[in-house]
Amino acid sequence: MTELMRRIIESKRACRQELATLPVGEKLRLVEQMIADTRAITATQPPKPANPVRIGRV
Amino acid sequence: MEKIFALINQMEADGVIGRYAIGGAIGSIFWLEPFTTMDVDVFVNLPPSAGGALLSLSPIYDYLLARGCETRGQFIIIEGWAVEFVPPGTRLVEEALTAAVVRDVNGVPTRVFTGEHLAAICLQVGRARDHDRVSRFIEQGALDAEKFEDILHRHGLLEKWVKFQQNYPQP
Repeated sequence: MTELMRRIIESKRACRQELATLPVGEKLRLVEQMIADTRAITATQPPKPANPVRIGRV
Repeated sequence: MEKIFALINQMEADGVIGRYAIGGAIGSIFWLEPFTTMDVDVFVNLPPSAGGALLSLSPIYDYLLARGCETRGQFIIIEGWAVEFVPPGTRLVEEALTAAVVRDVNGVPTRVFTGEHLAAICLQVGRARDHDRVSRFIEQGALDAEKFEDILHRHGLLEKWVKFQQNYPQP
């Protein structure tokens, strides 16, 4: 793992820890906001590839 | 979301459900960082139906439909959230329900599984996303080691815990 990757991972970990310490009500409000944002992205309906990867038995 | 919890508290007070606790992803968010999820899992003890020993979810549906909620598959839509009422299906979940704790959500007391029980349930279920959640609990330092290992020991999960630690090195 490169030093840059290590720093990115550490930064994400610190961010998760900071978010985990928020009051529960605030965390649940963030979840509701994330869901609203996710729905807005989902509504864009990206095109599906003609030949999608499938898991097959080898 | 506290409106949902207030309604569930009212259901408990009205005797429609027995003891309840929030589990699943929303329950985990009480102890972890917020992450996306689409439903609310409410684990409930059901009062026995009148005149019989059979347990039924019908009183829950009747109560909520009478208050303007709608159904979607096994879910009941409350305040825009898909809420599922689940009777405990394993001894571990029964214990989690008994040991659940009350936490305040914007002034609404809400009963939720402990972090140790949530992580143990994830380990027991064992899907990739469950393992991911266990590693988040560990990373957050949210689990009391003694309590967690005691639960794992009592529910025969120590072998799974050893395997988990081999596959998921310390974060």
